[in-house]
Amino acid sequence: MSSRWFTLDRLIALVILIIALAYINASFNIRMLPFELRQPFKPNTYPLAIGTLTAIIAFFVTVMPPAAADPTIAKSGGDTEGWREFDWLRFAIFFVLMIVYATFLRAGGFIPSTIIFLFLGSLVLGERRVWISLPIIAVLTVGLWYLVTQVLGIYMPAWPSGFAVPFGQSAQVFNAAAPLVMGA
Amino acid sequence: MKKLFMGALALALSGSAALAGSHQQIDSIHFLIPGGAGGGWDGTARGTGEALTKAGLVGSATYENMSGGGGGKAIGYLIENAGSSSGTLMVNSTPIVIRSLQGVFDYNFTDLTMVAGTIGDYAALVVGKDSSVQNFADLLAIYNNDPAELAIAGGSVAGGMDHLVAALAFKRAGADATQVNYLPFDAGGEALAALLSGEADALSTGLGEAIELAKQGEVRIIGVTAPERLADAPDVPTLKEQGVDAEFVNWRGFFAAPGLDADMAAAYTKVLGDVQGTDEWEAVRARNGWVNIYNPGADFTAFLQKQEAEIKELMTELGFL
Amino acid sequence: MLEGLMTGLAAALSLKAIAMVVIGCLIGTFIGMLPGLGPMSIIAIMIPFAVSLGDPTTSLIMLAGVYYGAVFGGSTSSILINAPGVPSTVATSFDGYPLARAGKAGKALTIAAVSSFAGGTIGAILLTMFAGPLAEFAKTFWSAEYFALMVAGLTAIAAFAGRGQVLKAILMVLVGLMLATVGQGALFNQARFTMGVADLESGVGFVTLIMALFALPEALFLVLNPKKGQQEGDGQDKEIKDLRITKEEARKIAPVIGRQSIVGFLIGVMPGAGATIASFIGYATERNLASPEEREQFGKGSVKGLSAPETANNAASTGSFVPMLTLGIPGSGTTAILLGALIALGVTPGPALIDKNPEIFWGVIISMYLGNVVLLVLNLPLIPYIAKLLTVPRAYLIPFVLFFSLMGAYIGQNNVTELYLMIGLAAVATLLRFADYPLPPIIIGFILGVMLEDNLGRSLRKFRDLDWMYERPVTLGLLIVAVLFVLVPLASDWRARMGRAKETAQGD
Repeated sequence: MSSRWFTLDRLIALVILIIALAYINASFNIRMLPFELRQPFKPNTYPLAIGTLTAIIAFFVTVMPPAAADPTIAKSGGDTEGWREFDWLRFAIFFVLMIVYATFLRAGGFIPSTIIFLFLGSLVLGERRVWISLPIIAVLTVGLWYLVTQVLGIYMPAWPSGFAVPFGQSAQVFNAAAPLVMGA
Repeated sequence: MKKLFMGALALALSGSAALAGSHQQIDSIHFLIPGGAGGGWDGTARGTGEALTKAGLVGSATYENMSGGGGGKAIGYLIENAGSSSGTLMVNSTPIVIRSLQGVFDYNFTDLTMVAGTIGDYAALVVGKDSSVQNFADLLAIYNNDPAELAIAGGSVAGGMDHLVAALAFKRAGADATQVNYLPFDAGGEALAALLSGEADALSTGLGEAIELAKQGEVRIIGVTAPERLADAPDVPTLKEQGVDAEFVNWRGFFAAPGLDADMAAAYTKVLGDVQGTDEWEAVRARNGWVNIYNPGADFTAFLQKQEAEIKELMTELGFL
Repeated sequence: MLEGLMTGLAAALSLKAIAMVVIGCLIGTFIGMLPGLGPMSIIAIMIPFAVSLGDPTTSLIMLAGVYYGAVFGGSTSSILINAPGVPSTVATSFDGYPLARAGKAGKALTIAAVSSFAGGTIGAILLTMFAGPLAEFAKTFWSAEYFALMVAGLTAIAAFAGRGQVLKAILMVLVGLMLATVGQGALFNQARFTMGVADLESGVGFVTLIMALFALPEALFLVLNPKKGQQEGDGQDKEIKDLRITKEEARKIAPVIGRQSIVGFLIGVMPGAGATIASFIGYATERNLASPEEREQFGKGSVKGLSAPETANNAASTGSFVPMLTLGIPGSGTTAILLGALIALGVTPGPALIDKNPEIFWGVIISMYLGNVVLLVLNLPLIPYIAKLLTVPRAYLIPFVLFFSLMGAYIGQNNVTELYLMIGLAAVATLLRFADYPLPPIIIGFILGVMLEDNLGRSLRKFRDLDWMYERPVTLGLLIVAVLFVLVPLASDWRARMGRAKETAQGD
């Protein structure tokens, strides 16, 4: 029983309690401009209020008695059942993939980084038919890059800097007309 | 159907063909925008680029949004990558001065190459049409009587530009400017709504924001921070003519990387000035309601230093720093 | 008035104008599906083209098509992959996504399309009839009233406070409120709670947070537990594409549409409130009005819960045109951009518009009717194809959802820190899910938090005490409504439980 008492949700409530206390502390340390000290509503008035409320509620959630076993209440997150059998390895791989993708997005250029990210993602999820996946991913990536940069006029370097640019960062001479031409 | 669109496209592009005769001065410009797509800086850079390329003065223009740190991230980027950024112009405006003073950025605008101020807007003090206030003297009387009774709305934070302008006017009129009861709103439009609803007794905002409603008689502009009456708004009195020496202009302009080659800087300065004479610029300017205040190179630097000194003195006195 | 409508109609019903509204709708729908590109940015992008069409009425009709298309496109990504690209479609995902997950994507999209159409059209009718008096009504709202409206909006979290979870839901909404205070706000000069990270000075991005809380954990859950989704998805290809709404469902959503188009419209009329607040309040009211059994369904795939916010946000978007057209004040980001377009076309919105340029005033209104009709006619046949996106093999769907989520925060910002933040928050969100903490309250608190503090702060500066909370009748009324929103369901739940307890006691 005692080991079941300290559940994940209590741990999280405890963490939130600590965060709330740190937040209250930070509220006291907000650097205030001289004229603000005279105001009735200061930069930390509202933060102190919500921080305190958060700390109180987090405290209650941490110590509240465990909910009585009520068979009529279905756990809302029923999809977390059997978590021990979940595929945690793939889950972790995806986090690593996303971080690596974010890191190399700018330096590596949008097109190569995205193709590699999507390709590795599909590989991890069991798509082994490389001759199918690669062309699909490449076409979609280049198409999206074209839409976003060339049509909508949003800046996003396609290739690593210093790389010869086959498409060219073309001028946005009349960017808004392009989608219409495509639409037609 | 396709024909129709190509027709529309051709029509739209025909405007740019008219001035194809004017010769190209610069191959390409890369605009660095310190905020996200859709904001004021974004509109200024894209509008300027559109006019430059359509008028044929610049071959092509690209735009890069880099938000973060209230604009500080882009400034830092431009300084750190100065060597490879000779083709880059960054757009900025009055807040760069204010935020530098407040220590929001690690850098100051003087760390950059100042290219030119291009457009601007004067500030205005506005009251509702039913207000008893007819001129600045009336407003001052209420303020001197009880500053708490005069809620002044604006579209920027407390201690920001609109607050500063209201305080400047009272200070130059000889009142204690530290007592302004300022209500900050998210944007000029919301502040204007607060004036119309009666929540605010007066409004401090850009002239461009208020002028149309003033023309329709919904609000009354009791003073503008221009040195003299403006051609676009001859009925609007200046603060200066009412004996209050408060001048202020919210400029927008362009900066380049530090240590930029002097010839290149001069070329940028020139092209930003030349474009203002073209029809293409006029179209963009009218669309956005901008006021031309071309302020080239060295003049721009001098202007900024003067503005910085003035703002610094005022902000220190008001307790904004 | 009829005469005016005719003027507008004559201007609108040219072949060119209809072609433009069709094109506008299509572009809006497809670009609107990309997270991060909401109606506001799409309209901003399309304005130079629309202006180049020359004729103001045609331009406006084209932009109206883009606008309605973009709003619907945003709902599509909320429903299909739990990725609301703009705040006003967050509430749509609350019940839209569970419906899609249960294999009823086609039905969910149809309900969304029909509700949007009805909300937009009824809103347009109200606008046609009452624009003038409504403008006066909008002027009665001060920061005090907005504050009370935000408090009422916060009660939407009740839908996520299942039994034994009330405290957890409140805790999550408070976390959202705290997150909203990070960075530079509208009230104060200094950025708060940035912990020295320069990138946090502009705050936590909306897209960053919503993708981290909604879209990423959903996609990653399918990675974690591949069996789960498979059982759900199998053998439902037919139903996914099925658009049909049963008579029973139609009977359920009809009154919802009727109520929410009016309430949503009125909220939209207030400059500064807008579609997001309307969608949350619509969601909260319908949950309270529903029977206890129906209330249980909210958050789990209720057709009412999907229809309410979709109707309300479209009606509110239409309502936000009232202050723009009649007072010349932009009530929302989108109308601010449209105001710019009008000025570019040489038209000055304001009290004089209806007299000076009746063809523009009525043209705008006609463009709303036309935009809504075209959107419905155009998109209903497309829904089976859009819904089929969900049948794309997992090996492609999941990486693409992750990619779109990341892109949503990166497009137009080029700030990699947002991506790291998103990935980190997604890990936290997954953990919270395992501990049975409801996630939607975080986003509700985050969205409403900023306006809550701003309006409270302004009211305190204006009045210097808290008396306005009971001295201003509308403020007091809204605060009472908020309290009732919380108490009424609690009381009826309690009664139901007492009743059940008695039955079991007798049964034993």
